[in-house]
Amino acid sequence: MRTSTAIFLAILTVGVAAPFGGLYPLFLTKCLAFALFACSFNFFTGNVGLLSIGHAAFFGLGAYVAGHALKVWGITPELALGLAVLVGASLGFVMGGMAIRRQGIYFAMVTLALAQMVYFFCLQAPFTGAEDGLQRIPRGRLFGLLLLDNDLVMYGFVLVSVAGAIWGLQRLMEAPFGQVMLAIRDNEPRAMSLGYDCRSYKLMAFVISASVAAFAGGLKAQTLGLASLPDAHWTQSGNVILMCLLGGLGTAVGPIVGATFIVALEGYLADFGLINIMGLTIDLSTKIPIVIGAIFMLCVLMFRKGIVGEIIDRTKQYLRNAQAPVAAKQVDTLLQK
Amino acid sequence: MSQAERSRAAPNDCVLEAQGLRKEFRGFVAVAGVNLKIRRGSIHALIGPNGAGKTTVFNLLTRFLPLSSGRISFESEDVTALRPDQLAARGLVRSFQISAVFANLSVADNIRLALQRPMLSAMRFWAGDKAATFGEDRISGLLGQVGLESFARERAGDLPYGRKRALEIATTLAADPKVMLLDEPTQGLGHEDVDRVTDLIRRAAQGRTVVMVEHNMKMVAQIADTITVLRRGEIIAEGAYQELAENPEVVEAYLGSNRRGDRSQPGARAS
Repeated sequence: MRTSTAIFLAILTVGVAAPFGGLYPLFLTKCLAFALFACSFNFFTGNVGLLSIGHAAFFGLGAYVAGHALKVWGITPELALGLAVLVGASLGFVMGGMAIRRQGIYFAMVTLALAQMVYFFCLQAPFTGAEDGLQRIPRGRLFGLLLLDNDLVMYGFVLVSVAGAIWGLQRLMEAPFGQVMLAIRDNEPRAMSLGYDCRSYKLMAFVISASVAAFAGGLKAQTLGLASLPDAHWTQSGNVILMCLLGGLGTAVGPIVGATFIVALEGYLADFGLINIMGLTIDLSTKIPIVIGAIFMLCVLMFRKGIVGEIIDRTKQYLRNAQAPVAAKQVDTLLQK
Repeated sequence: MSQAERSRAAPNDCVLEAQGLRKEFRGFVAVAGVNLKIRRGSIHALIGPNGAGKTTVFNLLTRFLPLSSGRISFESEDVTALRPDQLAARGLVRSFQISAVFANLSVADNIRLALQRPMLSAMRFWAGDKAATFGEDRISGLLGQVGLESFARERAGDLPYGRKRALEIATTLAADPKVMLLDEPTQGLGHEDVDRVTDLIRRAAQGRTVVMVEHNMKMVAQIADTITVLRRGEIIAEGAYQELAENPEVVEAYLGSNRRGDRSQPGARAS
């Protein structure tokens, strides 16, 4: 079975089982939206090897566009989300077109700068509601038929769309397109010397990544009924980087694990309330960034490849050790030749 | 004028031609007006002491570096304005001085990337199983040619140096180039590896043109039809090996400015 198919089935299985385990559909829906956002980021940065610090722009704009379309125009959700994807792709094309010529830190800075421009656009534009954001966005009727107001129904819709989108991203990585992307990450001049137009490939990957991020933003806005400035803020870009690093950048399931972990942690800490450490009373719900920052530091220091990356590495090492005697024998026979 | 006359005299004789190639880096002239004519089907070596501009000429020919001035034509067409990947797609494929493999891909996938490129637009974006097994026969054939059959599933980055270089040549061959440009194909190789690579290049040159930068004079003497000697960005001599070995200016260029004369002096290692 292909990895893409396996991941698709795993998400559906876990996703269907989770509500029965007592987890709230709304929480699960949020996890899924952020998992997709993390996967979109990973699709570009994890596979092409260029760090984007601008993905919040796509996520945020996707949220605003879908929210506005649902609330003001009252169109059906699939159209609203489709529109969000289209806007995300166009913005990705423009941003990517400008940034892709740069390497390393310059690429990161260009994406950050452009994303900040989008943020200020969202702050000033007439349809975004400035500091208030778009509130009470209706979920609408899917294809004009299925009312999504029930959390469980909404969850089902998000589960299928997210699983499908993640399948698509992974499937692309298994196709020749994905191979070329990995080749470009490994050695761009060599890929060029074999006749690959590296810039177009990178731009295509960026546009795909941006559209999926916008889709995730749209789903988030529709689920929570809210599109607001934090969605487009640069800290959201930082957040998604953190999710991917924690789970395992460049791995297929790492971003999903990382995103779920962070969303769950935020939810847990928000409920935690006041704690007392040596006479100091701390309200943990307002100190979430500090806790997450500490976890991030631990992650960088102790398991740099992320949770999933480390597991894959250890498994490989274990398998290699298990095969070592065989390999040694092979070397012996080679030497005797 | 003279160029027009030449192209009329021998329209298809030259597969690759450079006129007045010039490259300056902030005032430093690395290549100063080099004219090259590469005959179709020949093995053409570029030699010269360190810093003579050989690799820069390579980078200019393959468009990896922008020209300060000059003109390049490939298959009688002006290709000066093309991008490196466009030129590669037309059949001018280069290798690199420092071995260039896709380290995180398997050996077979390295070759597959080169093989599938011309088909990629025709292949569905998504093509899955067909693409994953695409060209198995040709891949094992090419790996066989360079003695890498048993390494097909290894990660390319784990190969020893000599094998990486062999893989690189196989990858270049897989792209089925009209002209292969090899940048020091034997650099850093042991004795047997040098012989194997030499043999490989000789076989690869059947039906195509090879241009190479090479320091190993024994190898150049063995297989090159034409040798161009560069010094300080200029051509000082051109011809067959025997003519050059007797050319005092060439001998002096090697002994005069290169302390590794024992290695680079023409004929020194031809014993």
